Amino acid sequence: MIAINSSFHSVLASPEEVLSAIARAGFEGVLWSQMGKGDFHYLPAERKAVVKCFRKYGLCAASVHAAEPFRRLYYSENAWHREAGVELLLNRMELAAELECPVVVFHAPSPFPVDTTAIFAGLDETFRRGESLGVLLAIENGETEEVTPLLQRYPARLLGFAYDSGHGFCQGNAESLHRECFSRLVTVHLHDNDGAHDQHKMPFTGRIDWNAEAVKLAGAGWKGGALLELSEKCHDVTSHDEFLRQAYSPGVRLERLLDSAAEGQLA
Amino acid sequence: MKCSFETDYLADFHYHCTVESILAPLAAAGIRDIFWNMQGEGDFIYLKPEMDEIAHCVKAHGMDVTGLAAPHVFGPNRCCWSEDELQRQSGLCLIENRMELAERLGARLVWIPAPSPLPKKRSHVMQSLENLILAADKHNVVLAVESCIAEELSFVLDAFSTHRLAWCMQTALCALGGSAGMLLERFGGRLALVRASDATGYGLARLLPFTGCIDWPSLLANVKAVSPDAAFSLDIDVYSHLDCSQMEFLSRVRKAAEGIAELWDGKVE
Repeated sequence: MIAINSSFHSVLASPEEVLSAIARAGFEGVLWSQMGKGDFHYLPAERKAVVKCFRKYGLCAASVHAAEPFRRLYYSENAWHREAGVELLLNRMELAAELECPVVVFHAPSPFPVDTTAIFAGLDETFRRGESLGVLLAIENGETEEVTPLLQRYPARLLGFAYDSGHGFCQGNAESLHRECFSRLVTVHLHDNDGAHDQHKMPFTGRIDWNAEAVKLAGAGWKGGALLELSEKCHDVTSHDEFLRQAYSPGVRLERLLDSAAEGQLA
Repeated sequence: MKCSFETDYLADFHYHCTVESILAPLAAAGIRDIFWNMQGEGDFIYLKPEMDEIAHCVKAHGMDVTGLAAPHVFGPNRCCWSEDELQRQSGLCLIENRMELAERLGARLVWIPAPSPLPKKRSHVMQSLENLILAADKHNVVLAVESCIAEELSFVLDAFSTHRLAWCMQTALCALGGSAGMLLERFGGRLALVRASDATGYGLARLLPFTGCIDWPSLLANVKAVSPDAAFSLDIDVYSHLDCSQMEFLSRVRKAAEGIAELWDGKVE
Protein backbone atom coordinates (compact mmCIF):
# COMPACT_ATOMS: atom_id res chain seq x y z
CA MET A 1 0.00 0.00 0.00
CA ILE A 2 1.11 3.54 -0.75
CA ALA A 3 -0.46 6.02 1.64
CA ILE A 4 -0.04 9.67 2.54
CA ASN A 5 -1.05 11.82 5.49
CA SER A 6 -4.19 13.90 5.06
CA SER A 7 -2.41 16.89 6.62
CA PHE A 8 0.20 17.27 3.85
CA HIS A 9 -1.23 20.77 3.28
CA SER A 10 -2.34 23.44 5.71
CA VAL A 11 -5.47 24.71 4.03
CA LEU A 12 -7.81 21.98 2.84
CA ALA A 13 -10.64 21.72 5.29
CA SER A 14 -13.19 19.12 4.36
CA PRO A 15 -12.68 15.35 4.10
CA GLU A 16 -14.11 15.56 0.58
CA GLU A 17 -11.44 18.01 -0.60
CA VAL A 18 -8.57 16.13 0.99
CA LEU A 19 -9.57 12.58 0.16
CA SER A 20 -10.63 13.29 -3.41
CA ALA A 21 -7.24 14.89 -4.08
CA ILE A 22 -5.37 11.97 -2.51
CA ALA A 23 -7.40 9.42 -4.49
CA ARG A 24 -6.88 11.34 -7.76
CA ALA A 25 -3.13 11.04 -7.31
CA GLY A 26 -3.38 7.25 -7.08
CA PHE A 27 -2.79 6.65 -3.37
CA GLU A 28 -4.56 3.67 -1.86
CA GLY A 29 -4.29 4.67 1.76
CA VAL A 30 -4.41 7.66 4.08
CA LEU A 31 -2.84 8.49 7.41
CA TRP A 32 -5.78 10.48 8.80
CA SER A 33 -4.45 13.50 10.66
CA GLN A 34 -7.01 16.23 10.04
CA MET A 35 -7.78 18.59 12.94
CA GLY A 36 -4.45 17.48 14.36
CA LYS A 37 -3.56 20.60 16.32
CA GLY A 38 -5.88 21.55 19.14
CA ASP A 39 -8.78 20.19 21.10
CA PHE A 40 -11.16 19.30 18.27
CA HIS A 41 -13.57 16.55 19.24
CA TYR A 42 -15.37 14.70 16.44
CA LEU A 43 -19.13 14.41 16.80
CA PRO A 44 -20.71 11.08 15.76
CA ALA A 45 -22.18 12.58 12.59
CA GLU A 46 -18.80 14.00 11.66
CA ARG A 47 -17.10 10.65 12.13
CA LYS A 48 -19.73 9.07 9.90
CA ALA A 49 -19.07 11.70 7.24
CA VAL A 50 -15.33 10.93 7.29
CA VAL A 51 -16.01 7.21 6.98
CA LYS A 52 -18.44 7.82 4.13
CA CYS A 53 -15.84 9.85 2.29
CA PHE A 54 -13.18 7.13 2.67
CA ARG A 55 -15.66 4.62 1.22
CA LYS A 56 -16.61 6.95 -1.62
CA TYR A 57 -13.01 7.14 -2.81
CA GLY A 58 -12.12 3.54 -2.01
CA LEU A 59 -9.37 4.61 0.37
CA CYS A 60 -7.99 2.63 3.28
CA ALA A 61 -7.21 4.30 6.61
CA ALA A 62 -3.68 3.16 7.43
CA SER A 63 -3.61 5.04 10.73
CA VAL A 64 -5.33 7.85 12.60
CA HIS A 65 -3.22 10.48 14.31
CA ALA A 66 -4.32 11.63 17.72
CA ALA A 67 -4.68 15.38 18.16
CA GLU A 68 -1.88 17.43 19.66
CA PRO A 69 -4.08 19.25 22.14
CA PHE A 70 -3.82 22.60 23.86
CA ARG A 71 -5.67 21.72 27.05
CA ARG A 72 -6.95 18.19 26.68
CA LEU A 73 -3.73 16.48 27.70
CA TYR A 74 -4.00 12.84 28.74
CA TYR A 75 -0.91 13.39 30.89
CA SER A 76 -2.03 16.60 32.62
CA GLU A 77 -1.63 16.84 36.38
CA ASN A 78 -4.98 18.63 36.41
CA ALA A 79 -7.45 15.75 36.75
CA TRP A 80 -10.19 17.45 34.69
CA HIS A 81 -7.84 18.26 31.83
CA ARG A 82 -6.40 14.75 31.99
CA GLU A 83 -9.86 13.19 31.83
CA ALA A 84 -10.68 15.45 28.88
CA GLY A 85 -7.40 14.31 27.28
CA VAL A 86 -8.46 10.70 27.71
CA GLU A 87 -11.80 11.55 26.08
CA LEU A 88 -9.94 13.10 23.17
CA LEU A 89 -7.74 10.03 22.67
CA LEU A 90 -10.81 7.80 22.86
CA ASN A 91 -12.54 10.05 20.33
CA ARG A 92 -9.80 9.30 17.78
CA MET A 93 -9.89 5.58 18.69
CA GLU A 94 -13.64 5.60 17.99
CA LEU A 95 -12.97 7.24 14.64
CA ALA A 96 -10.31 4.63 13.87
CA ALA A 97 -12.67 1.79 14.79
CA GLU A 98 -15.35 3.19 12.50
CA LEU A 99 -12.76 3.50 9.71
CA GLU A 100 -11.69 -0.12 10.36
CA CYS A 101 -8.24 1.31 10.94
CA PRO A 102 -5.99 -0.75 13.20
CA VAL A 103 -3.98 1.94 14.93
CA VAL A 104 -4.03 5.42 16.48
CA VAL A 105 -0.67 7.18 16.71
CA PHE A 106 0.04 9.54 19.58
CA HIS A 107 2.90 11.39 21.23
CA ALA A 108 4.38 11.30 24.70
CA PRO A 109 4.87 14.59 26.56
CA SER A 110 8.11 16.41 25.99
CA PRO A 111 10.09 16.51 28.17
CA PHE A 112 9.03 13.16 29.60
CA PRO A 113 7.97 13.80 33.20
CA VAL A 114 10.07 12.62 36.11
CA ASP A 115 6.88 11.94 38.05
CA THR A 116 4.95 9.55 35.80
CA THR A 117 1.82 9.38 37.96
CA ALA A 118 -0.32 11.57 35.68
CA ILE A 119 0.78 10.11 32.35
CA PHE A 120 0.29 6.56 33.58
CA ALA A 121 -3.08 7.46 35.10
CA GLY A 122 -4.21 8.94 31.78
CA LEU A 123 -3.05 5.99 29.71
CA ASP A 124 -4.33 3.39 32.19
CA GLU A 125 -7.76 4.97 31.88
CA THR A 126 -7.51 5.19 28.09
CA PHE A 127 -6.62 1.51 27.79
CA ARG A 128 -9.31 0.52 30.30
CA ARG A 129 -12.03 2.28 28.36
CA GLY A 130 -10.62 1.88 24.85
CA GLU A 131 -9.54 -1.75 24.76
CA SER A 132 -12.93 -2.96 23.56
CA LEU A 133 -12.70 -0.75 20.46
CA GLY A 134 -10.15 -3.13 18.96
CA VAL A 135 -7.77 -0.34 18.03
CA LEU A 136 -4.13 -0.35 19.03
CA LEU A 137 -2.44 2.78 20.35
CA ALA A 138 1.06 3.40 18.98
CA ILE A 139 3.54 5.74 20.59
CA GLU A 140 5.54 7.72 18.04
CA ASN A 141 9.16 8.73 18.35
CA GLY A 142 8.74 12.48 18.15
CA GLU A 143 11.30 15.21 17.83
CA THR A 144 12.47 14.94 21.43
CA GLU A 145 10.18 12.80 23.53
CA GLU A 146 10.98 9.41 25.02
CA VAL A 147 8.96 6.34 24.15
CA THR A 148 10.65 3.44 25.93
CA PRO A 149 9.13 4.02 29.42
CA LEU A 150 5.68 3.58 27.91
CA LEU A 151 6.62 0.52 25.86
CA GLN A 152 8.08 -1.02 29.00
CA ARG A 153 4.95 -0.37 31.06
CA TYR A 154 2.24 -1.46 28.62
CA PRO A 155 2.04 -4.84 26.82
CA ALA A 156 2.09 -5.24 23.07
CA ARG A 157 -1.61 -6.05 22.95
CA LEU A 158 -2.30 -2.48 24.14
CA LEU A 159 0.59 -0.37 22.92
CA GLY A 160 2.75 -0.54 19.82
CA PHE A 161 5.50 1.57 18.36
CA ALA A 162 5.06 4.04 15.50
CA TYR A 163 8.42 4.63 13.82
CA ASP A 164 8.94 8.09 12.35
CA SER A 165 11.94 7.95 10.03
CA GLY A 166 12.41 11.71 9.82
CA HIS A 167 12.36 12.23 13.58
CA GLY A 168 14.74 9.33 14.10
CA PHE A 169 17.19 10.70 11.52
CA CYS A 170 17.05 14.26 12.89
CA GLN A 171 17.54 13.11 16.45
CA GLY A 172 20.27 10.67 15.52
CA ASN A 173 18.52 7.99 17.57
CA ALA A 174 17.28 5.78 14.73
CA GLU A 175 19.72 3.03 15.69
CA SER A 176 18.69 2.91 19.34
CA LEU A 177 15.02 2.97 18.34
CA HIS A 178 15.74 0.07 16.02
CA ARG A 179 17.32 -1.90 18.86
CA GLU A 180 14.85 -1.05 21.60
CA CYS A 181 11.48 -0.50 19.92
CA PHE A 182 11.27 -2.26 16.56
CA SER A 183 10.05 -5.47 18.14
CA ARG A 184 6.88 -3.47 18.91
CA LEU A 185 6.57 -1.82 15.48
CA VAL A 186 2.97 -1.49 14.29
CA THR A 187 3.02 1.49 11.94
CA VAL A 188 5.35 4.01 10.30
CA HIS A 189 5.61 7.64 9.25
CA LEU A 190 8.12 7.73 6.41
CA HIS A 191 9.70 10.98 5.26
CA ASP A 192 13.09 12.45 4.54
CA ASN A 193 15.14 15.43 5.71
CA ASP A 194 18.59 16.98 5.72
CA GLY A 195 19.51 15.54 9.11
CA ALA A 196 19.20 18.90 10.86
CA HIS A 197 15.54 19.85 10.44
CA ASP A 198 12.31 17.88 10.62
CA GLN A 199 11.26 18.72 7.05
CA HIS A 200 8.79 15.97 6.14
CA LYS A 201 10.22 15.76 2.62
CA MET A 202 9.53 13.06 0.08
CA PRO A 203 11.71 9.95 0.42
CA PHE A 204 14.91 10.11 -1.68
CA THR A 205 15.01 13.93 -1.54
CA GLY A 206 16.98 14.16 1.72
CA ARG A 207 19.88 12.32 3.35
CA ILE A 208 18.21 9.21 4.76
CA ASP A 209 19.66 5.90 3.48
CA TRP A 210 16.41 4.31 2.36
CA ASN A 211 18.01 0.98 1.52
CA ALA A 212 19.11 0.68 5.14
CA GLU A 213 15.71 1.83 6.40
CA ALA A 214 13.97 -0.78 4.24
CA VAL A 215 16.21 -3.54 5.60
CA LYS A 216 15.53 -2.48 9.21
CA LEU A 217 11.78 -2.30 8.60
CA ALA A 218 11.77 -5.69 6.88
CA GLY A 219 13.71 -7.09 9.83
CA ALA A 220 10.91 -5.93 12.09
CA GLY A 221 8.38 -7.68 9.86
CA TRP A 222 6.93 -4.48 8.42
CA LYS A 223 4.62 -5.31 5.53
CA GLY A 224 2.30 -2.33 5.72
CA GLY A 225 3.72 -0.50 2.71
CA ALA A 226 5.00 2.99 2.11
CA LEU A 227 3.13 5.19 4.57
CA LEU A 228 4.31 8.72 3.86
CA GLU A 229 3.98 11.67 6.22
CA LEU A 230 4.87 14.67 4.09
CA SER A 231 4.57 18.41 4.16
CA GLU A 232 3.74 20.34 1.02
CA LYS A 233 5.53 23.46 2.23
CA CYS A 234 9.00 21.91 1.82
CA HIS A 235 8.45 21.33 -1.87
CA ASP A 236 8.28 23.75 -4.76
CA VAL A 237 4.81 23.05 -6.15
CA THR A 238 1.99 25.19 -7.45
CA SER A 239 -0.98 23.06 -6.42
CA HIS A 240 -2.05 20.29 -4.07
CA ASP A 241 -2.61 17.99 -7.05
CA GLU A 242 0.91 18.64 -8.34
CA PHE A 243 2.36 17.89 -4.91
CA LEU A 244 0.43 14.64 -4.59
CA ARG A 245 1.40 13.53 -8.11
CA GLN A 246 5.05 14.22 -7.28
CA ALA A 247 4.76 12.41 -3.94
CA TYR A 248 3.27 9.28 -5.46
CA SER A 249 6.41 8.35 -7.47
CA PRO A 250 8.79 8.09 -4.49
CA GLY A 251 5.99 6.22 -2.74
CA VAL A 252 6.01 3.60 -5.49
CA ARG A 253 9.82 3.42 -5.41
CA LEU A 254 9.86 3.05 -1.65
CA GLU A 255 7.19 0.38 -1.68
CA ARG A 256 9.28 -1.65 -4.15
CA LEU A 257 12.30 -1.19 -1.95
CA LEU A 258 10.35 -2.41 1.07
CA ASP A 259 9.10 -5.41 -0.90
CA SER A 260 12.63 -6.23 -2.01
CA ALA A 261 13.87 -5.99 1.55
CA ALA A 262 11.05 -8.21 2.77
CA GLU A 263 12.07 -10.80 0.17
CA GLY A 264 15.67 -10.63 1.37
CA GLN A 265 16.94 -9.06 -1.83
CA LEU A 266 18.65 -6.11 -0.09
CA ALA A 267 21.84 -6.43 1.89
CA MET B 1 -33.49 41.24 40.99
CA LYS B 2 -29.94 40.05 40.38
CA CYS B 3 -27.93 41.21 37.41
CA SER B 4 -25.27 38.75 36.32
CA PHE B 5 -21.97 39.37 34.55
CA GLU B 6 -20.73 37.67 31.39
CA THR B 7 -17.43 35.90 31.84
CA ASP B 8 -15.88 36.74 28.45
CA TYR B 9 -15.03 40.34 29.35
CA LEU B 10 -11.29 39.90 28.79
CA ALA B 11 -11.34 38.00 25.52
CA ASP B 12 -12.09 34.43 24.74
CA PHE B 13 -11.04 31.37 26.66
CA HIS B 14 -7.50 30.73 25.56
CA TYR B 15 -5.81 27.44 26.19
CA HIS B 16 -3.60 28.83 28.92
CA CYS B 17 -6.62 30.06 30.93
CA THR B 18 -8.13 27.85 33.54
CA VAL B 19 -11.68 28.09 34.78
CA GLU B 20 -10.31 29.11 38.13
CA SER B 21 -8.27 31.93 36.61
CA ILE B 22 -11.47 33.29 35.07
CA LEU B 23 -13.66 33.00 38.14
CA ALA B 24 -11.25 33.91 40.94
CA PRO B 25 -10.97 37.63 40.03
CA LEU B 26 -14.76 37.88 39.75
CA ALA B 27 -15.18 36.30 43.17
CA ALA B 28 -12.52 38.61 44.61
CA ALA B 29 -14.49 41.58 43.27
CA GLY B 30 -17.64 40.32 44.96
CA ILE B 31 -19.37 39.20 41.77
CA ARG B 32 -21.47 36.14 42.51
CA ASP B 33 -23.96 36.04 39.66
CA ILE B 34 -22.42 35.09 36.35
CA PHE B 35 -23.42 34.34 32.79
CA TRP B 36 -21.01 31.72 31.43
CA ASN B 37 -19.75 32.96 28.11
CA MET B 38 -16.59 31.20 26.99
CA GLN B 39 -15.45 29.35 23.88
CA GLY B 40 -17.67 31.72 21.94
CA GLU B 41 -15.89 31.41 18.64
CA GLY B 42 -15.88 28.16 16.75
CA ASP B 43 -16.72 24.55 17.20
CA PHE B 44 -15.76 23.82 20.80
CA ILE B 45 -17.66 20.97 22.43
CA TYR B 46 -17.43 20.81 26.22
CA LEU B 47 -16.51 17.34 27.42
CA LYS B 48 -17.91 15.96 30.67
CA PRO B 49 -14.73 16.52 32.72
CA GLU B 50 -14.68 20.13 31.54
CA MET B 51 -18.28 20.58 32.62
CA ASP B 52 -17.34 19.06 35.97
CA GLU B 53 -14.45 21.50 36.32
CA ILE B 54 -16.68 24.52 35.68
CA ALA B 55 -19.37 23.22 38.04
CA HIS B 56 -16.77 22.59 40.74
CA CYS B 57 -15.24 26.08 40.48
CA VAL B 58 -18.63 27.80 40.33
CA LYS B 59 -19.70 25.98 43.47
CA ALA B 60 -16.40 26.63 45.24
CA HIS B 61 -16.87 30.37 44.74
CA GLY B 62 -20.52 30.25 45.78
CA MET B 63 -21.63 31.58 42.42
CA ASP B 64 -24.95 31.33 40.63
CA VAL B 65 -25.06 30.89 36.86
CA THR B 66 -27.99 32.66 35.22
CA GLY B 67 -27.33 31.25 31.80
CA LEU B 68 -24.69 30.62 29.24
CA ALA B 69 -23.88 31.50 25.71
CA ALA B 70 -23.60 29.26 22.72
CA PRO B 71 -20.89 30.27 20.24
CA HIS B 72 -21.63 33.65 18.71
CA VAL B 73 -19.57 32.79 15.66
CA PHE B 74 -20.34 29.30 14.52
CA GLY B 75 -17.39 27.34 13.20
CA PRO B 76 -17.38 26.44 9.55
CA ASN B 77 -18.72 22.96 10.13
CA ARG B 78 -21.15 23.25 13.02
CA CYS B 79 -23.87 25.75 12.21
CA CYS B 80 -27.40 24.79 13.17
CA TRP B 81 -28.78 27.19 10.55
CA SER B 82 -26.84 25.56 7.72
CA GLU B 83 -28.57 24.08 4.70
CA ASP B 84 -25.97 21.28 4.72
CA GLU B 85 -27.53 18.49 6.76
CA LEU B 86 -24.28 17.31 8.36
CA GLN B 87 -23.35 20.84 9.42
CA ARG B 88 -26.89 21.43 10.66
CA GLN B 89 -26.90 18.26 12.76
CA SER B 90 -23.44 19.04 14.13
CA GLY B 91 -24.58 22.59 14.89
CA LEU B 92 -27.55 21.22 16.82
CA CYS B 93 -25.13 19.03 18.82
CA LEU B 94 -23.09 22.14 19.58
CA ILE B 95 -26.10 24.02 20.99
CA GLU B 96 -27.32 20.96 22.88
CA ASN B 97 -23.83 20.66 24.36
CA ARG B 98 -24.35 24.15 25.85
CA MET B 99 -27.77 23.09 27.12
CA GLU B 100 -26.17 20.13 28.89
CA LEU B 101 -23.68 22.48 30.50
CA ALA B 102 -26.50 24.82 31.51
CA GLU B 103 -28.35 21.92 33.11
CA ARG B 104 -25.14 20.86 34.89
CA LEU B 105 -24.69 24.39 36.24
CA GLY B 106 -28.32 24.84 37.21
CA ALA B 107 -28.73 27.66 34.70
CA ARG B 108 -32.05 28.44 33.05
CA LEU B 109 -31.04 30.33 29.94
CA VAL B 110 -29.03 29.46 26.85
CA TRP B 111 -28.26 32.32 24.52
CA ILE B 112 -28.00 31.78 20.77
CA PRO B 113 -27.64 34.20 17.88
CA ALA B 114 -30.56 34.45 15.47
CA PRO B 115 -30.13 33.13 11.94
CA SER B 116 -28.85 36.29 10.34
CA PRO B 117 -29.29 37.25 7.60
CA LEU B 118 -32.38 35.14 7.09
CA PRO B 119 -31.86 32.80 4.15
CA LYS B 120 -34.32 32.71 1.26
CA LYS B 121 -34.94 29.01 1.81
CA ARG B 122 -35.99 28.62 5.43
CA SER B 123 -37.36 25.13 5.92
CA HIS B 124 -34.07 23.86 7.38
CA VAL B 125 -33.96 26.79 9.83
CA MET B 126 -37.50 25.98 10.91
CA GLN B 127 -36.50 22.33 11.34
CA SER B 128 -33.55 23.36 13.52
CA LEU B 129 -35.76 25.55 15.68
CA GLU B 130 -38.09 22.59 16.22
CA ASN B 131 -35.09 20.40 17.12
CA LEU B 132 -33.75 23.04 19.50
CA ILE B 133 -37.08 23.46 21.27
CA LEU B 134 -37.27 19.70 21.87
CA ALA B 135 -33.73 19.76 23.24
CA ALA B 136 -34.51 22.77 25.44
CA ASP B 137 -37.47 20.87 26.85
CA LYS B 138 -35.27 17.86 27.56
CA HIS B 139 -32.69 19.96 29.38
CA ASN B 140 -35.24 22.28 31.01
CA VAL B 141 -33.75 25.48 29.64
CA VAL B 142 -35.03 28.48 27.72
CA LEU B 143 -33.36 29.43 24.45
CA ALA B 144 -32.89 33.17 24.22
CA VAL B 145 -32.42 34.19 20.60
CA GLU B 146 -30.60 37.47 20.15
CA SER B 147 -31.50 39.86 17.39
CA CYS B 148 -32.40 43.52 17.02
CA ILE B 149 -34.01 43.00 13.62
CA ALA B 150 -37.79 42.70 13.68
CA GLU B 151 -37.98 40.45 10.61
CA GLU B 152 -35.62 37.90 12.19
CA LEU B 153 -37.45 37.94 15.50
CA SER B 154 -40.80 37.63 13.82
CA PHE B 155 -39.59 34.60 11.84
CA VAL B 156 -38.16 32.88 14.90
CA LEU B 157 -40.69 33.75 17.58
CA ASP B 158 -44.00 33.99 15.75
CA ALA B 159 -43.80 30.44 14.42
CA PHE B 160 -43.44 28.92 17.89
CA SER B 161 -45.46 30.02 20.87
CA THR B 162 -43.54 27.90 23.38
CA HIS B 163 -41.89 29.49 26.38
CA ARG B 164 -38.76 27.46 25.52
CA LEU B 165 -38.02 29.93 22.73
CA ALA B 166 -37.61 33.54 23.76
CA TRP B 167 -36.03 36.83 22.80
CA CYS B 168 -32.72 38.21 23.99
CA MET B 169 -32.32 41.97 23.68
CA GLN B 170 -28.80 43.43 23.49
CA THR B 171 -29.24 46.98 24.72
CA ALA B 172 -26.25 48.59 22.99
CA LEU B 173 -27.19 47.08 19.64
CA CYS B 174 -30.80 48.18 20.01
CA ALA B 175 -29.64 51.66 20.99
CA LEU B 176 -27.45 51.82 17.92
CA GLY B 177 -30.42 51.00 15.70
CA GLY B 178 -32.86 53.06 17.75
CA SER B 179 -35.16 50.07 17.79
CA ALA B 180 -35.54 49.24 21.50
CA GLY B 181 -39.01 50.80 21.91
CA MET B 182 -40.47 49.23 18.79
CA LEU B 183 -39.00 45.80 19.54
CA LEU B 184 -40.16 45.86 23.14
CA GLU B 185 -43.65 46.75 22.03
CA ARG B 186 -43.68 44.01 19.40
CA PHE B 187 -41.75 41.19 21.17
CA GLY B 188 -41.57 42.26 24.82
CA GLY B 189 -43.87 39.48 25.94
CA ARG B 190 -41.27 36.95 24.79
CA LEU B 191 -38.29 38.74 26.32
CA ALA B 192 -36.31 36.39 28.58
CA LEU B 193 -32.86 37.94 28.66
CA VAL B 194 -31.46 41.45 28.51
CA ARG B 195 -27.76 41.61 27.71
CA ALA B 196 -27.07 45.00 29.15
CA SER B 197 -24.34 47.29 27.97
CA ASP B 198 -24.29 50.99 27.38
CA ALA B 199 -23.74 52.59 24.00
CA THR B 200 -21.68 55.46 22.68
CA GLY B 201 -24.43 56.52 20.31
CA TYR B 202 -22.13 56.38 17.30
CA GLY B 203 -20.38 53.00 17.25
CA LEU B 204 -20.56 49.47 18.53
CA ALA B 205 -18.98 49.43 21.97
CA ARG B 206 -20.21 47.52 24.98
CA LEU B 207 -19.82 50.03 27.79
CA LEU B 208 -20.72 49.70 31.43
CA PRO B 209 -24.28 50.82 32.14
CA PHE B 210 -24.49 54.46 33.24
CA THR B 211 -21.37 55.42 31.25
CA GLY B 212 -22.98 55.91 27.84
CA CYS B 213 -26.06 57.36 26.19
CA ILE B 214 -28.78 54.88 27.21
CA ASP B 215 -31.53 56.22 29.48
CA TRP B 216 -31.49 53.29 31.92
CA PRO B 217 -34.41 54.29 34.14
CA SER B 218 -36.61 54.63 31.10
CA LEU B 219 -35.37 51.42 29.45
CA LEU B 220 -35.76 49.36 32.61
CA ALA B 221 -39.25 50.70 33.19
CA ASN B 222 -40.22 49.76 29.64
CA VAL B 223 -38.74 46.26 30.01
CA LYS B 224 -40.38 45.71 33.38
CA ALA B 225 -43.75 46.72 31.98
CA VAL B 226 -43.71 44.00 29.33
CA SER B 227 -41.48 41.32 30.83
CA PRO B 228 -41.21 41.47 34.61
CA ASP B 229 -39.37 38.14 34.76
CA ALA B 230 -36.61 38.99 32.30
CA ALA B 231 -33.08 38.16 33.42
CA PHE B 232 -30.23 40.64 33.07
CA SER B 233 -26.60 40.08 32.35
CA LEU B 234 -23.88 42.67 31.84
CA ASP B 235 -22.27 42.13 28.44
CA ILE B 236 -19.21 44.35 28.76
CA ASP B 237 -16.03 44.66 26.78
CA VAL B 238 -13.05 45.52 28.98
CA TYR B 239 -11.34 47.20 26.03
CA SER B 240 -13.73 50.11 26.36
CA HIS B 241 -12.56 50.61 29.94
CA LEU B 242 -8.78 50.48 29.86
CA ASP B 243 -8.33 53.45 32.16
CA CYS B 244 -8.20 51.24 35.25
CA SER B 245 -6.87 47.99 36.65
CA GLN B 246 -8.70 44.69 36.23
CA MET B 247 -9.86 44.76 39.85
CA GLU B 248 -11.05 48.36 39.56
CA PHE B 249 -12.90 47.40 36.37
CA LEU B 250 -14.56 44.46 38.10
CA SER B 251 -15.47 46.68 41.01
CA ARG B 252 -17.20 49.05 38.56
CA VAL B 253 -18.96 46.02 37.04
CA ARG B 254 -20.30 45.00 40.42
CA LYS B 255 -21.53 48.54 41.12
CA ALA B 256 -23.17 48.73 37.68
CA ALA B 257 -24.91 45.40 38.29
CA GLU B 258 -26.10 46.64 41.67
CA GLY B 259 -27.25 49.89 40.03
CA ILE B 260 -29.33 48.00 37.47
CA ALA B 261 -30.86 45.83 40.20
CA GLU B 262 -31.69 48.81 42.41
CA LEU B 263 -33.33 50.65 39.52
CA TRP B 264 -35.33 47.54 38.65
CA ASP B 265 -36.40 47.01 42.22
CA GLY B 266 -37.42 50.65 42.50
CA LYS B 267 -34.92 51.47 45.21
CA VAL B 268 -33.75 54.54 43.29
CA GLU B 269 -35.52 56.93 40.96
